Amino acid sequence: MKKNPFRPPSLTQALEETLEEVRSQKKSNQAEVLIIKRTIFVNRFSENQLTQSTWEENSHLGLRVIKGKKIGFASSNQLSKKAIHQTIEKSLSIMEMAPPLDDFVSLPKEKNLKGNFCFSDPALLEFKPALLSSLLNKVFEAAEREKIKVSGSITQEITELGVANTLGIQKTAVFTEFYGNLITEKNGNSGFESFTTRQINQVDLLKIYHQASQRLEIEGVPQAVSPGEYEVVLSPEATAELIDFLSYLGFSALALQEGRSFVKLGEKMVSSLITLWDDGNNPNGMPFPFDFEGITRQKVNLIEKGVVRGVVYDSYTAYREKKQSTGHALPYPSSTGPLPLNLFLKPGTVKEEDLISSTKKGIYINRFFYVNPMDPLKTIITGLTRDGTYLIEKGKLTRPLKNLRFTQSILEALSCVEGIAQEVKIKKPLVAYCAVPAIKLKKFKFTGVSEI
Amino acid sequence: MKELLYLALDELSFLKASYGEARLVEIEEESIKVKNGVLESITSSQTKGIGIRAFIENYSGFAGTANLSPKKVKEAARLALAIAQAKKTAGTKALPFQPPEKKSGNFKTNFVIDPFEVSLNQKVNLLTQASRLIQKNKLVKLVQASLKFSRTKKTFLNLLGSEINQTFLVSGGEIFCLAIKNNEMQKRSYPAAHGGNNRQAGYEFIEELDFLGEAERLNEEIMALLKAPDCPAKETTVVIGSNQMALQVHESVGHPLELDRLFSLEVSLAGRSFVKPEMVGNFQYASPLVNIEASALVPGGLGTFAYDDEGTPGQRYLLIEEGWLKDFLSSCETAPLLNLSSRGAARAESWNRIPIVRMTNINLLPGEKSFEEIISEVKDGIYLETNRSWSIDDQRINFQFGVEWAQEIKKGKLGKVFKNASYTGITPLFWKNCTAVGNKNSSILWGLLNCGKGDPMQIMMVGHQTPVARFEKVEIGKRK
Repeated sequence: MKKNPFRPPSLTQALEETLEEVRSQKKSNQAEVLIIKRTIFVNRFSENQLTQSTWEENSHLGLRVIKGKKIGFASSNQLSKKAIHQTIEKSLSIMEMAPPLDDFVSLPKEKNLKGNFCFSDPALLEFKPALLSSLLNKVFEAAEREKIKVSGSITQEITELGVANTLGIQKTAVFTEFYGNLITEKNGNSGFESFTTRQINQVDLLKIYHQASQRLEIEGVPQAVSPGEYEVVLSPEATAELIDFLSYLGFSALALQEGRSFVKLGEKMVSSLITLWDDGNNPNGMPFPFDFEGITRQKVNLIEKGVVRGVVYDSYTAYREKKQSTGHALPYPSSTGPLPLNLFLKPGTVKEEDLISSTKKGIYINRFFYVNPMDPLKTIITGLTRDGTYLIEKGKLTRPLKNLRFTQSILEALSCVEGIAQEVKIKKPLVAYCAVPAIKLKKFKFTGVSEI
Repeated sequence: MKELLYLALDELSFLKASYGEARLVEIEEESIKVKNGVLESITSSQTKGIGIRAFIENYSGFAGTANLSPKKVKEAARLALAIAQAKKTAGTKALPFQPPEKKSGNFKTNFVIDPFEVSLNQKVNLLTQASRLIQKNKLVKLVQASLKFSRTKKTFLNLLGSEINQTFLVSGGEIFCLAIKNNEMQKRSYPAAHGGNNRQAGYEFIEELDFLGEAERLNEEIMALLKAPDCPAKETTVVIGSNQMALQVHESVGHPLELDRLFSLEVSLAGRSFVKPEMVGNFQYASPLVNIEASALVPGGLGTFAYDDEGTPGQRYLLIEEGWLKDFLSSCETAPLLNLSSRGAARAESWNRIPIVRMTNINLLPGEKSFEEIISEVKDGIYLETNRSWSIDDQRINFQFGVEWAQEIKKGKLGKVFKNASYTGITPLFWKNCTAVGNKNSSILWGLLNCGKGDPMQIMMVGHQTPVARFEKVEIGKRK
């Protein structure tokens, strides 16, 4: 992956032309334009057969115009001169009638006004349906040999993103991404592995398949265990789901300002083994160097040794507190406010196997499913386990279990961390890319079993 | 722009596609949000594009483009066919696709007042006034009021000569408040949470919702919730309000009866279903009081259309009759797996997505009893209303719902309020314990905007006409 300057001419020109036309109308004081062009090729497969293959190219033009404290916004997926003109006219007409937003100060500005970034793999810039079919066929052949059914999807994505404002910010970037998931099934037992990367040669689909199927040989028909509190070992996939939800529920400055965040800055809220930060520039994650307002992403320490240290800001929430944006704006408008998108959980020093072997009786969870918050202030969420839930007895995975429902406060779960593994994997559960290891928790509350 | 669709089909025909279809979709949306009595955002968006599905024998490929130049549309047609060819070459097993019969037709939503013609000032003023009526209480930390309108024009053509033009107008709104006291946060929404209520209708539907008239009630109820005790944990009789019944039907009947799930085509994301094809006609899903239909013909429903996105006419039929499983939701790609014809439930979020099996309007047909009669027959139970959270497993067996509002029922009367109420169950066991279904007067047509399925994800609008209903032996509250 090269971090060479790259200037997609189509976006730069469209950004400049849009702002120029807005300026020429002399109706607004400030303006911001965001353009995203995305091409996606998705291949879905089910039980060793390729079932759906879809390709799309789409665009987004979002224009925010400001006069004093009045804001107008319009968007389109068309980038023709006519469409840009219509979008400008619409946003200006909305701005004219909009009542003022009293605590709005300004669009953002920073020292690094311009930048062109490239996080793309040339091999992913071209779509080759036959090549992807043949890669998948190798997985299907292996699965057939091993009498395993494999389902899932893989996606190839190219994104060009540009943002500019009338205060001088102009940033563009090109990203490629290759991501997917494999579900393996044999004898009523199932496994799961997901991956996400910017470079196709960092992924070996056969290796992902073997990781997804590594525990299918644990014998026995999945059994039910009684609901209650158990010691648990969470795979990186399951850990990512907890961390992502925790972040979504509390680490936005807007959530804190509105009183709907659990965050109490400076207070120890989880185990001292937990250190969590957001870093959009870390090459070990999925780098994305600026936010949707064009502001450079800052590294933000969210939790240090169990103590909550920070939340993330966009320009609106930062100006409210006379602070600087940390570079975490989402595309305007966003009711959730800014959010961390590149989370890192500090790894430990042991292997995932050690977390299991040190457990006398507990449950291994490979993945959570259909998780939703029940009480955001208390970080209580509910959901189910899926594709790889095992009983741990005397340090070993002894039998597969039927899926379990959990109802659990994330803060309480992370307050009883027993161990953290050293191997980190990048996952993307719902909102953020999460670079996380497996963890072991002393207590986790299961409230039901999925069985008829 | 219809000529672009012909261009795409001509290209498919020239390249000897076995079958092909092209859809032009143009969507105009307007969204207004007021937060704490102040305008947060007005957004206007316009999107359009063409989606092309091409077949070589039964192997299909799909390409969609927002670039509506003739060159790009032809390229997309060729790419759709190349994807189909790649699947055929890979030797994968194709689904037995059965194209719909040739059809031509039109559909337009009936409405009185075009919401796009109503001034933004009028809409902002309505939301601001309603929001300020609730915000007068200091414990209320957040009030959000919103309106959303969309107009979707679809033109569908296929190689059989079908031509279908449909225009859908959707109007909807929501107001909710959050109040916090002693680290306890409560939420109350009207007319429902997660996007409110939405109809294929004009601005007259917003006027019907009467935000100003309902604001005072929300204010009283959010305060009652802050003072209320936690919902007890026990097994009891529950009476479930119309809005929560909509989600109950959606998650535990609609999704499990989508035929693609039964044939493992949704494993990578949403999962399968505990229901098997052979259960039709001999599986008791629910008590004899329960009749559930799939209908694309409900006036105002978000799942209402003349033709689905494969060109199959919209239909009305029973999924569950007197408790017994009768049918499924299906498409041209899935119905042939059972040697059946499509039930007209193939829907695509927009031009850039393929049609997959989706709900239309899934409705619990009304019973005989009024809400008051249903409550009066309960000695000891609980009334549950307005969804707050939801979760169900990948087979659609184990569900858990949280609700905003709960009230004790004692000796046939509604009593004290409980906060943080939730209930959980196992789908067929729960439905078999249904002991009353409310009459027409207790039934409301709900329009949900946010049903997610597919990969890439497709967000679909669906409808549910649901009355109040009663269930026995339901586990409520947080298990200790």
